[in-house]
Amino acid sequence: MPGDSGKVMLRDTNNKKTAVAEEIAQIVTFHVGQEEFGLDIGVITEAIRPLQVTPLPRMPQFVEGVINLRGIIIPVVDLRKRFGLTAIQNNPRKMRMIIIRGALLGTGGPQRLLALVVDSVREVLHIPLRQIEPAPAAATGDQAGFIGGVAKAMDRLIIIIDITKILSGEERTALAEAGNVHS
Amino acid sequence: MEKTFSEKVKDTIVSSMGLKLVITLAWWITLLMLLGTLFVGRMLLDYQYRAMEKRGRDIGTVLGKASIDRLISKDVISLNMLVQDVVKSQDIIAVVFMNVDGTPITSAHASFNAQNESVKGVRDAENTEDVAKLFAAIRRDLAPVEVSVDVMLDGAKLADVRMAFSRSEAQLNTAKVAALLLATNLVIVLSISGLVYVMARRMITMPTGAAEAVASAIAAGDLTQSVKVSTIDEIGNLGRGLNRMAIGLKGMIGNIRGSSEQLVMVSGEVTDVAVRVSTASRVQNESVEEASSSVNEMHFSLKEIGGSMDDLSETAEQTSSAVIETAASIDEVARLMTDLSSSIEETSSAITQMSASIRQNAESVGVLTVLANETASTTTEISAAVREVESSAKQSVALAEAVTADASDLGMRSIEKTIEGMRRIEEESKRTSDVINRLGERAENIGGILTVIEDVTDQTSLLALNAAILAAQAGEHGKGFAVVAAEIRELANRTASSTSEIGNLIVSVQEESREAVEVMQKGVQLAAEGTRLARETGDVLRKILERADQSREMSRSISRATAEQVTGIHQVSEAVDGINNMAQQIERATSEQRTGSDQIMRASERMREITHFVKSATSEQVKASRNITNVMETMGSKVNMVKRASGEVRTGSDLIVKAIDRIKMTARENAELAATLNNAVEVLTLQTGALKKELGRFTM
Repeated sequence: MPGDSGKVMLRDTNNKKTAVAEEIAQIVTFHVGQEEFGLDIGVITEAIRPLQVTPLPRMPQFVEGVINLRGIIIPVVDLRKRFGLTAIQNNPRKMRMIIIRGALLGTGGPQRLLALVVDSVREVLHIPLRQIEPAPAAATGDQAGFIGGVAKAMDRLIIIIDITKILSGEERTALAEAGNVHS
Repeated sequence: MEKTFSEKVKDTIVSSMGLKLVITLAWWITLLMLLGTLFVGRMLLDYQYRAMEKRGRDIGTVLGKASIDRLISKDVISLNMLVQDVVKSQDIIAVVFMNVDGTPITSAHASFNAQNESVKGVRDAENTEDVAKLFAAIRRDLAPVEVSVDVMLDGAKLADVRMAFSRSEAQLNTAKVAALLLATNLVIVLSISGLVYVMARRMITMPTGAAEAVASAIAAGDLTQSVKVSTIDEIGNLGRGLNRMAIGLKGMIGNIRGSSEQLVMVSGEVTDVAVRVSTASRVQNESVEEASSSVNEMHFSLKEIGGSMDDLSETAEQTSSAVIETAASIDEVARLMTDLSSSIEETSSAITQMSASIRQNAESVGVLTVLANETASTTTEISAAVREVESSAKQSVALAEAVTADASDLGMRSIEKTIEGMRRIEEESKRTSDVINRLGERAENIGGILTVIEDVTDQTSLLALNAAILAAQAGEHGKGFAVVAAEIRELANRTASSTSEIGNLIVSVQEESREAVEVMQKGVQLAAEGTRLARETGDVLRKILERADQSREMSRSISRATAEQVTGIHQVSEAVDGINNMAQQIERATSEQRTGSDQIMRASERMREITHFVKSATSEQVKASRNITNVMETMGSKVNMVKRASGEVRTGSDLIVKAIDRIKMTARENAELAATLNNAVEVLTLQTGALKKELGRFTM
């Protein structure tokens, strides 16, 4: 996989996560509400200004709609809603869509992309794997499952997201089927 | 020519009441006394002669009774002896028995008084013994008192006794008595004269002399003198009348003097205020000059704004300090308005006092009429004093005319120029307001540009992020690119924060421009208000000039009335008439003056209101200028920060320079106006000083 050489990826499909404290991870941080979250740079395709979202009637409920990015149709998930925050916008100019891959199931062929709507994108941090800790045990429940780890950088607490856990299993299936029908 | 002694004596007597009284009295008393003495002497002499005759008759009767026998017996010797005894009395000259036929019985040696010197002399002269002849000689020479008594016997005359008494003793006695009477008369006359002289001196001469001295002192201007009065008779009433007159005059002149002193004080204070206004306008002039030079520097700096904003920040600081100085000048003007306001208050109360003095004058006029009637006899001295008053009134007229000319000339012109200056300030403020508005527009333009920059920054940041993502995906090969992408992101972030700061600055500059425009507009309003107030002041000044004219007319009436008084006094009745005429005219003039002073009082009330208005307008201006100062300071520090952002305000600064030049011109003209006003005030001070000097001639 690209971005693999010399690093150990956090994500390990179908297996438990095996974190080896060796190299430095590149984490892209972003804000949703008051919290700062992070994603491994490897899972991100690009970050863009929000595009016009087209709601499709046949999509599952957690999907806001789709966007057309240079001819590719990508479903959109709003992380504010996902994390249960109110729909108040912070700064429309700062809002971004982060295009990630690997969140969905593929039906053979290249992995499907997903667009996440966030309040703002902050920076790219280089964090030693040593400083990334697993999620606290107290975090449980549906929403808590997506926390892949917690990193400390300077005085900030960054919640690392496990993209495989953003959508539940049923959601993934539903999306895949809808996508199939659509495409 | 030297007077002769008798003329000098006559003068002395004529000029002294006492001497006149004494001499007249002495002359008449002496005359009466002499006549009385004469009369009494005459009566006394006759009385003595009567007594003598009676005595003679008594003696004759006794002799007759005693001599009957001797006569019958024709005993001449015993008859001689009888007669000789009787003849020994001093005043008896002769006693002779005569027959019925007239021949003497007794002989000469017995019948005549041998001790009497005059008898002896006659006897020697006649040298005869004939009794009849001797008797006749005695009768002829000595004129004695003769008494003849008939000696009767049984109804028939035997003989008669003839006696002659000497008059000399009686005459001597009478003379003695007369001399005694005369001496007594003399003593009486002298003592009465002395008494009358002393009384006349004490009761008439001295009091009238004192009254005359006081009247002379009043004529010379000394009103402190008064007559000491101790009686309630006519002289005492005269003295009291004079005292009342002096008090009346004192009151009048005291009031006029008090008013003139207050006038001097007020004009002195107005002088101070004019000097301070002059100084303040000079300071303002200098401040404007500094501001102008500062603005010029800023103008030239802005021309190079594309290259360096450092010059711009320097210039902003200098402008700020110049505006602070201007605000300080406005503060002083505000303080001066306060002083002016209090001066007007004092003038108003001085006018109130003058009103009261006018009322007192009316009362004094009534008293004066009464006094004129009482002092009819001493008006010659008063005439001289009145002539001096007349000349003083004429000088007052000249002074009032000079003051009126100066005030009308300079005062009205100054107000017109002030109105012109206000109008120009209004224009300038409007122009400056426009310039600031344009500055605001430029700032908005900058804001638009900033928006674009922000956008670009955003996109750059995003691109850098995507570049980093791609670099990460490229792995080893992408490391270098990752660094570059990180730096681009950093750059974009810095730019973003700078532009956001610039954005804030633009907003605050726009806000401050708006505030400055509002302040300018307020200034324009205040200038308009000032113009209106100056016009109203001009109207009030005109009214005051009218009143000054009326006062001058009143002075002239007083002068004319005084002239009439001078001629009238020469004759007693004319003098009283003349004074009465004067009193009526003054009464009329006083009531006119009262109306005039009421109007002046109202005009000064109006002035007080106007001054309060101007004072509050000035304090508004003080606040406005302080606002401008704050705005300018904030602007200066902001300009330092805008150094990094660029702008384009060249054309705006051109116009500001031109506007400052015009303001400079206006400030210079205002300084000249203040100097002119100063001159007018100096002249006023001189005139009031001259008036005070005139009044100073009276001592009270």
